[in-house]
Amino acid sequence: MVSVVFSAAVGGIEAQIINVEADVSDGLPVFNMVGYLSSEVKEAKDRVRTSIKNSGISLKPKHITVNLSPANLRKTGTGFDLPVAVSILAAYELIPQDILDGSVVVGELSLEGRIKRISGILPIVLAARDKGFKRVIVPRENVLEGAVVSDIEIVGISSLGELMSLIMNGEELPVTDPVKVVLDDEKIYAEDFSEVSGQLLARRAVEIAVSGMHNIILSGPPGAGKTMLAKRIPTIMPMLSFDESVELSRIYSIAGLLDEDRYILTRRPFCAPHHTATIPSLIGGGAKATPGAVSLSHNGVLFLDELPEFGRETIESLRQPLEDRKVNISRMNASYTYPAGFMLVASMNPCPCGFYPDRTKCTCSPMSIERYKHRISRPILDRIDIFVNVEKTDFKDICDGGSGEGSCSIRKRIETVRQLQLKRYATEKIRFNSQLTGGMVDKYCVLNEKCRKIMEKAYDALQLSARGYHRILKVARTIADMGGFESIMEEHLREAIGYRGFM
Amino acid sequence: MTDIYNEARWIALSKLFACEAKKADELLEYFGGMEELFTASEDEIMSLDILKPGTAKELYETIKSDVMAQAQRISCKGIDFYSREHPLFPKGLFRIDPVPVGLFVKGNLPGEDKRAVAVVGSRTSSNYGRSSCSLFCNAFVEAGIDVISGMALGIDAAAHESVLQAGGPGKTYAVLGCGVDLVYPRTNRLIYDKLVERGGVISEFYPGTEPKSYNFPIRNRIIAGLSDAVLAIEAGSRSGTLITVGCALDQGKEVFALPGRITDKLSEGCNKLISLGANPALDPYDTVERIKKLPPRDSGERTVKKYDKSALNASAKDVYDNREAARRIGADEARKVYLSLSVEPKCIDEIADESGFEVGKLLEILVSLELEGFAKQAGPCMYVQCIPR
Repeated sequence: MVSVVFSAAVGGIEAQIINVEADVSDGLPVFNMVGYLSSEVKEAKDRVRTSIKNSGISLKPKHITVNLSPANLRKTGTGFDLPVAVSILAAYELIPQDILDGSVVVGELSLEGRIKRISGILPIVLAARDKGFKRVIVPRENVLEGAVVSDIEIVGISSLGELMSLIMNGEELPVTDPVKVVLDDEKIYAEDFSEVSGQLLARRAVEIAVSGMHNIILSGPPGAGKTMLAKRIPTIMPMLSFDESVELSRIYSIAGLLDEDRYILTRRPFCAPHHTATIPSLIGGGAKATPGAVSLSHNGVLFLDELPEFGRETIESLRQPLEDRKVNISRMNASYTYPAGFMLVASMNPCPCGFYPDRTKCTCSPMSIERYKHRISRPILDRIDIFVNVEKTDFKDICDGGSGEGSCSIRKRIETVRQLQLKRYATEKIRFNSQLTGGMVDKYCVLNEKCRKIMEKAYDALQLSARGYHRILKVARTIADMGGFESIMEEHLREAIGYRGFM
Repeated sequence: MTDIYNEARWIALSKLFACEAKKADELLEYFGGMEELFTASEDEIMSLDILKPGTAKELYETIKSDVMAQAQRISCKGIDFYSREHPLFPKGLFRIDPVPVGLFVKGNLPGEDKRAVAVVGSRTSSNYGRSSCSLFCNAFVEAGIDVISGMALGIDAAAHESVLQAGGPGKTYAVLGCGVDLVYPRTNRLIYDKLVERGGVISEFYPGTEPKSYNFPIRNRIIAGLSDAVLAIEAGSRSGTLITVGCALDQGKEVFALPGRITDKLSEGCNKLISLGANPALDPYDTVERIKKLPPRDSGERTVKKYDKSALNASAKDVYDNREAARRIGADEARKVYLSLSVEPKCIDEIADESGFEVGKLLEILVSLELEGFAKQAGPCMYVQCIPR
């Protein structure tokens, strides 16, 4: 008899439903698995046979054939153990086929029959719901991750034996209650902006950057608080919406970064790859095309500490994700697209020792300072709108410790500015001021006569490039939005010029 | 005798003996003249005991080579050559030791009858050094005094740059430690181009000579030799600037040094010079006057320090008159911000504390000052005070 069990394979951040068919017939006792399988799926054969035996079920020696279809899609991952086992048991008529209709089954088996956690549950459950399935049977350890999705039953099972006894005794499968995801809890972040003392200018610059999703460089001597500031940037971004949270959790799910404590992301991510990071770890890749830091910081902050220390090629690989807000990773079998809509925050010292231009402390030669600056690739600098200096905090400010404005009130202001941008760009394909392209700059950053004069002067006096000119206009647009101005005024423009690059 | 053929021979000699002009002297003395040297036989050359065998061989190859073709190649590159027999060879250089074999020049040589001052300083410079340097250079331009320096980073570059930016009749010349066709350091490309146009680039080294570290102290004697006085802007206690000053003292030239704070590493050398008797460069206009009163540089007369007591009482023009500049700023707010700036970089948070402005507003004011030339960005969100011309 032939049985069919539905399972799912993850490719990129999408999952696809896979039919696991099993046939049991007379003949020599062999166990064959076909269907374009990777080695970990082929190995399922032994795990399945042993775990069925160790769950107290003895199977008569028969000719068993298992097929995973569609056969042209390469199956990878360990989630096929359980569906293969269930499918064989159904073919032996130990499980009635009707229970399996409308269910998607995933899970890895241990030799003693326990069902172990797998990665990618969230995309699998989402795909099952979209395809009209009514139930997903998942490892107990993964159940919370699945239960985030509404309109579908999630059944968490801890062992093959448990599943068999439930079915054989005719009991209802235990459906987990949907999890209520709380996204607007004020205490969601451990850090708060009120912990930053002083740093008025940096605070202002960061607020502008977050308001318009501008990439920003924080420059300053060691210990000035660049990293501290950067870590608090996610706390002033608008809270994640449910859709954003699910989109983000999908990425973490397939990267295998979700667990029982963190089954869905409720915080905006903050990724700080080390400066020795390789291109695949940053962009994504490897044999399985796993998402990299740019995707793991989607909807959040990608923080590159000590920017000049990063390899030039590594940094330049960020160009495409910065431009497209997504990455394409092509592998032999498929090409995957991962979202990568992050805000780039980078920190750097003004010179190798970090104290320039304080000549009493700086010991660097002018050459080494130039060299240090030149280590940063120009194409990346071109994509950074705001440069700001973070100075060492005064003693007075440290004593006042934490008297600064808290994340909550900053976030409220930023949310207003973001709304403004969403409304303005409703007909465009963009969401933030930082995404304005050349043509759009002309349309949305109209300058009056006085502003034009300022820009004309600045263009010559400060030797701006065309790209630098556009960057200033974009930042000025955000500053104007923050003040609630319909059009850009001179003061907005001048402040924006103040944040321009210095190299 | 300065016929073309002879000049070509000098070029050949300068290629061989750029760093050891004394050797060339000995040779010419030994043979009794250029003609005799270039017609000497192989045996005669190889048996010279004043030369190492390798050098002797090179010398022999040189005198047999086509020196005219070599001279042609150099002039094709737009490089002029003045041997020390050339009538235009600067007279002042006969009083330095050793006298260079000749000078390669791109652009022009400084005018013999014009006053010239060497403005020198360290490559690592502070903002104080650079802005004072430009104050002095502007005064020199106004007074029609040429500025000679070494086109290195820091003070040298600042000196050339301020003369070039001042426009007008100001001329500035650079003496390089490499061939005149090389731009070193490369960041000074723009300065180099303008120098060739509006002054000159000078070197005793054959075109194409790499910038080797030991060439730089050697060329310092030429910087001193071309000038009437040396102004040391900033120098650490072991700076190469002190070599130039040493050369100037050997040549009996007047030395001026810009005083600095005693705690500043970069002012150590200059302060020491002052304590040893150098003229403190307190006021650009006063310095100009003193330089004008010096005897001509090729007169051979050693300058003697004379202190004009009356100058102390005369109401001199303010050296760094930021109050006057502040009066030129229309808006009260901007003036307040301007006056809280200093010649050392100050970060915005600090200025905000002093002036009481909110940072966004402050940055806006600073940019407006910057656009008018009253301030300059010294780093991200760091500003220094300037006086626009």
